[in-house]
Amino acid sequence: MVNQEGILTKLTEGIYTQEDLELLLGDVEEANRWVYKGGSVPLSKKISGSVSEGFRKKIESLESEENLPGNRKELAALFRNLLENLEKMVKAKLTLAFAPSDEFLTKLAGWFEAQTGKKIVLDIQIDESIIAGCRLEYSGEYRDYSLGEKLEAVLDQEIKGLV
Amino acid sequence: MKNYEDYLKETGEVGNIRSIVQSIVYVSGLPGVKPKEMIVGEGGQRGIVQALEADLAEVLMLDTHGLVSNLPVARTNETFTVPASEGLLGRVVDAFGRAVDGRGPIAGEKTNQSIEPTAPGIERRVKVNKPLETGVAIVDLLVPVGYGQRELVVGDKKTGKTTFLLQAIANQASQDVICIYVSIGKRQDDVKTIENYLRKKNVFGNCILLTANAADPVTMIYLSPYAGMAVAEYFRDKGKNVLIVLDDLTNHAKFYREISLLLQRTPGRSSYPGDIFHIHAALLERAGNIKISSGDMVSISALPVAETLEGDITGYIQTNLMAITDGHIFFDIDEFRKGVRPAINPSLSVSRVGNQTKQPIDRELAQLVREDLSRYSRSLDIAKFGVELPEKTRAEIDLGEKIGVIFNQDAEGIVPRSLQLILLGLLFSGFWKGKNANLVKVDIIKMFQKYQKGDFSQIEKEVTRATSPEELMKLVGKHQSKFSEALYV
Repeated sequence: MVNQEGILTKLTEGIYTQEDLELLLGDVEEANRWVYKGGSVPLSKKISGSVSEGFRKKIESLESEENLPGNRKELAALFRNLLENLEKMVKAKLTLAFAPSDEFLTKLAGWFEAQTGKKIVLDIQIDESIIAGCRLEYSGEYRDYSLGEKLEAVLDQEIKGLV
Repeated sequence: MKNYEDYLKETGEVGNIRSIVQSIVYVSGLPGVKPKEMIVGEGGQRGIVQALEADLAEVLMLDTHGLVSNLPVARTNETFTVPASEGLLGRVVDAFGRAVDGRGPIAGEKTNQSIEPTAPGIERRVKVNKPLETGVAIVDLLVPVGYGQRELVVGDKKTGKTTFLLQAIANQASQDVICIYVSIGKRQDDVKTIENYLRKKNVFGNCILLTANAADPVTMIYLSPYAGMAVAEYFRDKGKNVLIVLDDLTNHAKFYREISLLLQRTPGRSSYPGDIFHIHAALLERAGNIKISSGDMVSISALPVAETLEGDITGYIQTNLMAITDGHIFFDIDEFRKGVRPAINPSLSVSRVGNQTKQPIDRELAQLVREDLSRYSRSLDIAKFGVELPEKTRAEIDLGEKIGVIFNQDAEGIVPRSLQLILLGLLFSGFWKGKNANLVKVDIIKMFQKYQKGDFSQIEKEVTRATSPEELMKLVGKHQSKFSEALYV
C-alpha cells in the first residue's frame, strides 16, 4: 500500500520557498511524462538528466523502499495527485529588506511550521524600502512589521504636531 | 483619496484574484470580507463583493483594466459610495461621480453617499399631495403625476418617451427642482442630444446627467441607477425636490441578467434571475415624499422607463415595473404611426396617486375630456362604415379631433397649467364651433406664441382661480373678444 502522505512529506523536504516549490512542480511533471516512456527501466534512471539530482535521488530512495507503485497507471495517478497537493500547499508572502541565507530560511520555515502546525511555503519578496523587519501576508491577513512603516508613522505624527 | 496600500494597512486583509469571468472575479483570502463591501486591487481597480462562497468571494469589478490572475486585492471595510456635491449640477458624470464632459473635475467639498442605503421607513413617508407639472398637456390632465410619485414611462423604441421626459425635466428644472437623468447603457450620442436639449432650454444648471454608456463595463451600467438615486438622496437630504429619470430599466434588467448568468445564478423566466423584481423594487422604494430632519417635506419623484416590443406591455420586466410603480404612461406605437404627438394612449395609462394631487376643477375637466375622447373613439368606429353620419356623431368626432389638436404638442413646446385651462375653456365654451381642426391648430400655435409674450397674463391669473369647468367656461367666455382680437386681428 502506497503512503501518499509519506511521499509528499519526503518530496517536500527542504522545500521552503515558492521558487523551490515551482522547481519541484516542474520535476514532478517531468517525472509524470516519463511514466509510460523508456520501457521497464526504473523511473529514477529514466528521469536522470531531465530533473534535479535531489529529486531523482528522492525517487530512487522511494523506489528502493518500494514506496512507489509498480503499476504505471497507479504511478501516473500518484503523480497527478501529488501535483494537486503541491499546488494546494499553504503559502505565506514575506517581504524582507535583504535576501535571506539558506540557514536563515530554514530557521524561518521552521518557525512558521511551529507556529501554524503545518508546512508553509514562503514567497519571499525583497524590498529595501522597508529598511528592516518584514511585511507578512498569510491566510488573507496582512501585517506590516517593518521599520519603514514605523518610521513613517513617527514622521506623520511629527508633521501633524508641526502643522 | 485612499489607495490600495492605505486600505491594506487599514484593514490588514489581503486576497488574490483566482479567476476572471469578464468583469466578475473570484477572490481568495480576505477572511473578514462582507457582501456589498468594496474591494480595491493593486492597480486601483475597484469592485463590489456580490456573494461569498466557502473559500472565494464573488466580486463585480467596476474597473476592468489590468485585471490578471493572482492580482492582490485589499478589503476596504466600506460600501461603494458616490461623491455627491452641488458641483455635480450642470455636469455629465459617470457612475463613480467623475466628470465625463471634458470640463474638468468636479470641484468643491463632496459627501460620500452610499449607493444602496436603506430606503426611508413608513414613519418618514408623506402622502403624495402636490402635482408635478410635466408641461405636457395630455399627461398633466389625464395621467397627472405628483411630487414623490414613481410613474413608469413605457412604450416602444422611438415613440417619443425621451422627448416627453426631457419636456418634464425642462419644466421641472425651470421650477428649481433638481433633475437627474440616468442613462443606462445608451449610446454616447443619445446622451449628447439630451445634454444639448437641456442646455438649449437653459435648465442644465439644475440638471445632472449620469451616464453609463453601452461601452462601459456591464457592472458599471448595472450600478448606474443606484448611483443616480444616491445623488438624488444627497439633494433630498439638502431639502431640495428631485426628479430622477431612469432611462431605461428594461436595459438595466438585461445587464443584470448578463451578470447573473455569468455568476451562474439559476435563470428564471426569460432567463432573468429570481431577484430581478427585488432589485428594481429596492431601487424605486427609495423615491417618495419624505419628511427630513428639519421637518420639511421633500420628494424624490421617479420616472423609470421601460421599453416594449411592438406595444406589448405584458412583458416580464414591464409588468414587474408596473407592479412596483404608482402608475404608467403608455406610449402607443399605433398612435405614433397616426401622427399623434406625444403618442400617449390615455386609456391604457394609469396614475394611481396623481389624481389626489389635482384640484377638483382639473379632475372634472379630465373626466369631461375622457368622456369626449371615449365618444370620439366610438363615433370613429361608426364612421368607418361610410354611412352619412347624424349631426350628433359628427359633433362628437369634431370635438374629439379638436381635443387631439390641443393635446398635440411638439418637443419644444411646454404647456403650463394656465394655458391648458384657457385652451380647454375655449374649446368647451364653443369658441371654435364651426371651425375645422386644422384651423384650430393654427389658432393654438398663435395662442402659444401670444402666451409666451405674456399677452394673456391677466386672464391666466383669473382662470387659475376657477373652481369648476362651468366657472372656467364663463371666465373664458367673458374674454372671448380678447382672444378673437389676439388671434384674428
